[in-house]
Amino acid sequence: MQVFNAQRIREDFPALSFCNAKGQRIVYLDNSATTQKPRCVIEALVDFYQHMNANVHRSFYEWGNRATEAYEHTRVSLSKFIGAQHPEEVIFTRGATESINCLADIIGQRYFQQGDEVLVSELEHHSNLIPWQMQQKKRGIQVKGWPVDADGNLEISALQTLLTPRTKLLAVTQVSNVLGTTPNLKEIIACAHANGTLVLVDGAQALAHLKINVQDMDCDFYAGSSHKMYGPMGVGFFYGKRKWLEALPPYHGGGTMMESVFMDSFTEAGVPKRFEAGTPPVADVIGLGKAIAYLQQFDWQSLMRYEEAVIAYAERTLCAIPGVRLIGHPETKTAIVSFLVDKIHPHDVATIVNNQNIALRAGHHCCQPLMHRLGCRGGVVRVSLGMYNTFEDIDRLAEAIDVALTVFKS
Amino acid sequence: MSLQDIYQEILLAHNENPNHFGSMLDATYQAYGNNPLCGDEITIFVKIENDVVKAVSFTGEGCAICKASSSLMTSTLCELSLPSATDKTQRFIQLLSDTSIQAPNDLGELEALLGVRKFPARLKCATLAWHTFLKAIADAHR
Repeated sequence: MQVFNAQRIREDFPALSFCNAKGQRIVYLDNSATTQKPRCVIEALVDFYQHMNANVHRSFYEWGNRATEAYEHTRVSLSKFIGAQHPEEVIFTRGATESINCLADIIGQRYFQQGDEVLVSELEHHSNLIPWQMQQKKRGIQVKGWPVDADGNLEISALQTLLTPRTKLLAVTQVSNVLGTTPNLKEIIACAHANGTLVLVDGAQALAHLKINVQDMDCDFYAGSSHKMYGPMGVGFFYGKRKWLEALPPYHGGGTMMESVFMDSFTEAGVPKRFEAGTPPVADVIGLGKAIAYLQQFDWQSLMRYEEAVIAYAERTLCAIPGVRLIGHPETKTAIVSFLVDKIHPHDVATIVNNQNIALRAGHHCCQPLMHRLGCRGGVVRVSLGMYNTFEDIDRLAEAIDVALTVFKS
Repeated sequence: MSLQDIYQEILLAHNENPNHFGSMLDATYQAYGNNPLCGDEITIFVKIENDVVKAVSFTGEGCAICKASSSLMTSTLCELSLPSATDKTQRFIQLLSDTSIQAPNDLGELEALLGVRKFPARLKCATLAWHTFLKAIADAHR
C-alpha cells in the first residue's frame, strides 16, 4: 500500500505551523466546518488582485480576458472533478447553502404544486432542510422526514415506504456532517427515480474525501462548497443535469443572467449564465480551481485509504478512554467521528482541548433534528479530518481529553 | 489563559450540585432561554411577592459554565427587590461582556465567573441564565 505522506502535505498549509503560547502546534480537527488552505490557493487570491483584477464576461481588456479565462477554467476543472457531462452543468454560487436555497426556490417555482411532498433525510444539515421548509410555507408542499436508525444509517426499506406518487424530490447528503455516514446514494437515487422523484445531493462534506461522479450516482442536482475542499470561502456551486437546468427559471435578476432587456420585460440568458446574476466572487472561484488542481495531484485511492485509517485509529483511541462514548455506528462512513464524554458537557470538552491547541467543534452542528433522534440534546463533540491530519494528532486529542477528565475529576 | 481561570473549583462544585435546580410549582414568572448554536437550554422560574424576588430556580441542560452560572444566580437574586435584582442582573451581564469594566469587590462567589472574560466563546454560556431571568421578569415590570 502506498503510504500517504500527511507530514509532507502539512508543509503546503501555512496555517498548520501555528503554535500556541505554550509551544503546542495546532491540531486542527474541525475540517467539516472549514478546511485549511494550501499555499497555492492563498497565492492565487493575491495573484488575481495583483495581476488580473477585472470583472468577468464583460471587460474587453487584457485583465478581463485573463480573469474570464481563469474563472471559466475552474468551471471546466470542477465539472471534470465531479464527473459532470458538460461544464455548463456547474453553476457558481456563494456557497452550498446558497446553492440549495437557490435550487429549492427555482425547482419549487417550476415543479411544486400544493400537496406535493419533499422527502428530507434526518442526516441533513439545516441548510438542506430549512430551504425545503420555506418552500412548504411558500407553495403548500409537505416536507417529510426520512428517519435514521439508531446507528445513524438511512434504510432503503424505509425510503420505499415513504415515497408516494406526490414525492417530487428527495434531499439527501453524501456524507453526514455529524456521523460521517455515507449513504448508498446509487441505490437510493435509483429507488427515487423509479418513483419519478428528483434527487438533490448535498455534497458539501464529501468533496474533500470521496471520489465524486455525479453521472455514475445519477443525481439530478448536487451542491458543494469550496471552503470545505481546501478552497476559499465565499464560493460554492451546484450541479444540475443539463435537461433540468434548461427548464428552470433564473433565481436572481441582474447582470449576466439576461439576454435582452426592455423597460417592461427581459429575456433570459442560457445555462449557466441564467443562474449567475451579478459579479461573482472571481478570485475565490479561481482559488477553488487551484484547490482542485492541488487535490488532483494525489492518488485518490491512497488519500481515501489514509483518511479511513486515521478515522479508524481515532475511533479506537477514543473508545479506549474510560467515559468516552462514540455516537452512531454507521455501516459506511468517512472522516468524521462524534462522541460524548461522561459527565462533561461537549462545550467544556471543546474549551479544555482548545487550551491544548486542539481545534474541534462541540454543539448541534446545525443538525438539531438528528441530535434529537440520537438523544443528544446537548450536542456532541466532533472530530472531522482533513488530508493533513496525522495519527499523532489523534494521540494529542486523547491526551487533551485526559486533561478534561482530570479537571472534572470524573 | 489557563483552565483554572474558567474551571474554578467553586464552579465545578456548582455544576455537580447546583442550587435551586428544579421547576417551581408556584412560580409567578418563568421563561425559556437557549443558545441555538451550541445547545444550552434552560428554563428560569421566579416567584415575586410584593415586588420582592422570593425564589428563583432553574431546569434544563447546559455546560458546566452555564449550570454553575445559573446556580449562582438563583442564590444571588433571592430576597432582592425587583428593581435591585434587575439592576444586579444587567450589571453582571455587562461586567462579563465588557473587560474594560473594573470588577467591584463585593461580588462574592460570583467572582468565580469572571474567568469567562478570558474565554469570549463561552460568554453566552455564562450569561444565558441572567438573560433568561430578565426575560422572565419582563412582564413583572408592566
